[in-house]
Amino acid sequence: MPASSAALSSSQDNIVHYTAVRMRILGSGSLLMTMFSQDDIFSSVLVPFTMTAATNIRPNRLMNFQHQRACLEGKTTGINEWFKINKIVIYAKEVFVEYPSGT
Amino acid sequence: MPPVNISFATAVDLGSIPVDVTQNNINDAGVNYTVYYKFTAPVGAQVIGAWGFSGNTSSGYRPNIKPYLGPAGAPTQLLNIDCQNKPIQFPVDVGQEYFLEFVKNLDDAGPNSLRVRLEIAPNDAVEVGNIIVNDDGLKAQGFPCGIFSHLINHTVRRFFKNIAEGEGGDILRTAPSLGVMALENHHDDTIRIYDANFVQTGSVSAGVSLNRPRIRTVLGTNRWAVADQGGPPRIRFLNPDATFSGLWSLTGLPSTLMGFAVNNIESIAYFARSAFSNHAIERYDLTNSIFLSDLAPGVVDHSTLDILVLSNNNIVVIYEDSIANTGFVRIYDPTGATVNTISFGTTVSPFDSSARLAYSNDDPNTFWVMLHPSVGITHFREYKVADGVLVNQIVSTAYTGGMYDGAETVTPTARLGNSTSCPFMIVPGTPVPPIVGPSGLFVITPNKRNDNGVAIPTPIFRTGLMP
Repeated sequence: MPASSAALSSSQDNIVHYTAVRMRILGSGSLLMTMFSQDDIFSSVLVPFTMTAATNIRPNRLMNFQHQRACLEGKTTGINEWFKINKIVIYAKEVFVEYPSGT
Repeated sequence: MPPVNISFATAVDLGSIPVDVTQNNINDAGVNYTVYYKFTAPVGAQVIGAWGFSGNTSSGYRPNIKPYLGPAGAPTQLLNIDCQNKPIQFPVDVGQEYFLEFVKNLDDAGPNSLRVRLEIAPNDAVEVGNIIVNDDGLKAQGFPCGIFSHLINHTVRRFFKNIAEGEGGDILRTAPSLGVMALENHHDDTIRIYDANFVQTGSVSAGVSLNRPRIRTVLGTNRWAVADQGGPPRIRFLNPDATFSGLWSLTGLPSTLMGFAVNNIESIAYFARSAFSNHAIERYDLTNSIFLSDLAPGVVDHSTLDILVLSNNNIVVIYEDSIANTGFVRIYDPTGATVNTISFGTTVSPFDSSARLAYSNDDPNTFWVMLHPSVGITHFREYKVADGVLVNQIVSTAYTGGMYDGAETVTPTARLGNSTSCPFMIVPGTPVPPIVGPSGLFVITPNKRNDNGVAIPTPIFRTGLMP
């Protein structure tokens, strides 16, 4: 999923608190998820989704990840596991404008 | 206006390969021009496939392609290749400059065009079961040995250059010499030994003209039996270290043997005399150096050019009727009783060139035969001994002297192919079992690594940096 291109603004690169991810996802097996900060300096492993081929539920996973930029990685590692994702919603809130000056 | 590229000096540089270009100004005022192109063999290139096609197939402007080694001021024609309007293949050396001359065959009113295509032959790994076909060396010296897929029609795996060229050759099928080959070199009357990587490890000279020796692997002792046409024919055993053992002169025989093989304990040699028809399959006692009674009588109008002795000592003989263009294989047991007869059918003409036999990786249950059912086409077929069932057939495109054997066509069957009149061998070993799974899908083995030690990637996604 490409990063959206946003116009430059004063709020760009503010520190964001990522709190949850929700997906419309079908599949088989476990979707292993990890949040990574820029350049993969920090990471946070989320509780995996147990996928089903059909479901009425769009599952949620909580996280506590606070960085200026972040990305979500998902994968399967088992034989015959698969996934189909139609929607990913990241719940996030800007909390700080900057790190202490000099960081 | 006449074309510019009408000499070696003004040849058009084709640049990087593959190439597909069309020149439309071949004709000017009723005169067709011989035109020139050049290229530099890129890194990794062993063999180049080239084709200049006018679009006409039976009349009109249809140029002849000739490849040359540069420089422009002193070009050298390669391997006597001179082919009208059809594809060619020729070996190259990386970094060398080559020229292609497209010689006009006539003048006409025009307009005429020339489509020039070049491609680099693959350099894929040799796999167990692949088909090895070297050149017979009749047209010129320097044609490469080809490795062909045993799974996909018309598919070259790769070529090896500087491999012996001749009619005799076979490959050892068990360790410690698995894959070691002995090949006759027609140009200097030697037999050259190559390891499984096609690196020459030895060479022997017969001292007299080998004159197209028959070389056949003895499965039981994992070395070769060699019958040279020394006048009288002589039988010796060739070891993987390029030394001969034993010597039997078949006094009283004409100088030429055709089909030839030795049983697995090296006590009996089987052979058919010359290329004339109706010759029996004869036997020679190597222990006592005497002729024995015939294994089998001759077949009217049929000649025998190849014999195998399977690991169970059954004898496979190919019979060919070069007039009716039919043939069959007959398998005998050591007493001469017929085990099975496998016909190729009257609709198949076995020869554009002589049919040959080769051991299979499922010996003694199966064997391979190479046929040429029509001009330009080669069939590699694996037959079951017990019931004659065709278990595998690979269709390949024939190139003689580097030139496409088939007729001029808009759609050649393949741009690269095998030589025809020569031995062929099956790369020995235990075949990798085929991947079994739903169509279009593959079963992934946990922690499976490919031959390069690289893990099969897991399905994975990553979003872009947010927000």
